[in-house]
Amino acid sequence: MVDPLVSGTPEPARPSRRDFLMGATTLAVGATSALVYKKVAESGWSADVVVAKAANYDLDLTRIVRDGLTELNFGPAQVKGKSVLLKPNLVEPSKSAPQINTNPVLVRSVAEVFRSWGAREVFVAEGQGHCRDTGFVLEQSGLGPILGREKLEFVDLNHDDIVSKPNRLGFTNLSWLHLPASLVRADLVVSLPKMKTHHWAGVTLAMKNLFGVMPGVAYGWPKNVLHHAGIPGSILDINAAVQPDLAIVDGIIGMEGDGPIMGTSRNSGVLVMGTNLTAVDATASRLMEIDPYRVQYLALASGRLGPIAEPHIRQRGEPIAELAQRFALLDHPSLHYLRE
Amino acid sequence: MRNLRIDRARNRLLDLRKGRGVWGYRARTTEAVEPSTLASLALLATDPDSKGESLAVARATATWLASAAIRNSDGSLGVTPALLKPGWTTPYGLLLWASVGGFAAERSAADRWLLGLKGKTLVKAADDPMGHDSTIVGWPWVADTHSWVEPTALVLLGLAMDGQSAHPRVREGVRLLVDRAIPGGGWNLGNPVVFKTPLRPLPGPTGLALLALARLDGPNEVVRPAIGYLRTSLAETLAPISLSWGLLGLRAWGSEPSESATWLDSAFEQIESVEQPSPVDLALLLLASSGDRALGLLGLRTPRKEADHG
Repeated sequence: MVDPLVSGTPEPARPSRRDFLMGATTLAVGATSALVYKKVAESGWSADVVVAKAANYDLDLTRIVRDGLTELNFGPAQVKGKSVLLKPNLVEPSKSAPQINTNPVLVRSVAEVFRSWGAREVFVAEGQGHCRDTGFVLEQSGLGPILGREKLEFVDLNHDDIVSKPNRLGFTNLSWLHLPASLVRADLVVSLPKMKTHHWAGVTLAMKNLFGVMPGVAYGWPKNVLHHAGIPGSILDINAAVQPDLAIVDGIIGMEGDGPIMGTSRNSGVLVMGTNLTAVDATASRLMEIDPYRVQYLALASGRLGPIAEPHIRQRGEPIAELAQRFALLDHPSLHYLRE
Repeated sequence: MRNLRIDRARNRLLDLRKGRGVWGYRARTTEAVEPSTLASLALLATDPDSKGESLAVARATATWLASAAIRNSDGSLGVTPALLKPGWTTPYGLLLWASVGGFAAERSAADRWLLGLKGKTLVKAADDPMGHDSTIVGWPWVADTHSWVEPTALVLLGLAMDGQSAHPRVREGVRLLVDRAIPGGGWNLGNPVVFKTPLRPLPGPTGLALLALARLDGPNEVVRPAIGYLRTSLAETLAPISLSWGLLGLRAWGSEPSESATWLDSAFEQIESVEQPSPVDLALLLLASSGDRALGLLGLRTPRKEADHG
């Protein structure tokens, strides 16, 4: 059986996340394992990505997000009556370093857009990797008070019930993935990462942000099981299992240098949006002036989960060249491959 | 006023029990070891009648922990009946079984399992970015991964309760906590320095590490800066888990600030407005409000004096 994800043919109609997580679909587990590290043609892939200017968080981000998604042909038809899970990046709480976490104002704006398009429910969910105390994370990040005012439910994915499923893609040796049951509740999963450099993965964007759905009760704090299994492979396996529907990258203020938590803030003034997370991350990477082919997880995802080559990404909104900024990287031999 | 708040919190905690008489992480999630144990300890710590309803509830939880529904044949405990590994919840069983008495066979099996569980060590290359000594063996969250601060501190408290304070693995665990202290004070999950940069401490792990070090005669060199960090950071949070573990850690070293009652009162007030509070949040606030009774349940009969070890 030829796996369409690796044969270069267009992606077939995929089972819904709920079907997958509920086990209603037969899966060819491990069928692609032997193909790890082989370069895969992207010819069958194409994706739209919107780059929108947003100089600061005081702007009308609701309008900017709505316009961007509309440009992607993503609107009420995709949202009406649906349950929407917003997954921000709240890796660690720190009032003094707001560049670590997705800005709460953006989370509120995205929720507003989905509510205005008739979502049945919108809820925010995270399983932060460093701090077990969700109350502390919400309090210190400033997201908690906003969720309270907007009556947005928060689900702690670290301590959710568990749905265990075979590892569909098999890029790591993890036979099973333990996922939070709240993923079953959601019709749409939206990754809302911060645009940051990452001292292990190179960059952390929409795909790496999904490490945060993996429950700490099963993987620990940090999610050390995934580190031992390999970060790039884990990113691919998780994305293949979760099947996120959309990403909106918070690059209004990003982080450069020693990311994901100790880096410095970088005013980039952009939001990056798209329904294919591989293409979104490739675009955001280019906005940071990091070649996506040098980012290991993106090189592996190329042709398997989406495109990263510029000809296969239909760029909408602002041109990358006008907004790209050279994000500083930590000066350490282990990261020199990203730019040399 | 304070007692009324505690009574209300106790009643809410009891109301949050699941069908089997134990607790889940949330009202809608399945029963789990950690919230059930903390809730039981909290009820014991705040019940003026030590032989009353709380003891019966705690015994029921202890019995559930000993049952095949949640206890593995190797002596370890699952997280929930649907997630029987990893066994990082096992020390909670030791704490509760010791508090209610009995369960000797279960405690012995849990001790053996924990003493056999070792965090993975790493031999670092010369330019390795990790700042800690990765050859010290403590306890991981999940088997075959590295040792971290919170599971190590919890295991130390549990094993100390069973008279294992002098065991070489326990002493090495104490050494791990000392090594993982952040240079400026306190602990985070267990990465004190990466790429030569000290990382930020967190109140929860700091409180737990202080409790374990107080229980096991840890050295003072890392205690004083951690106390300083907590006394500053706890003034800026009402988050129940961080506030409570932090205050318990301070109390274990006789360093609880005079404002702590006000902080706890504010945290209780905040949680009273939450429709479906987390049992762990409620339980930890109750434990932190119980004076030295919580310390007793964690094996600390009297607070350590920082000055005694200076």
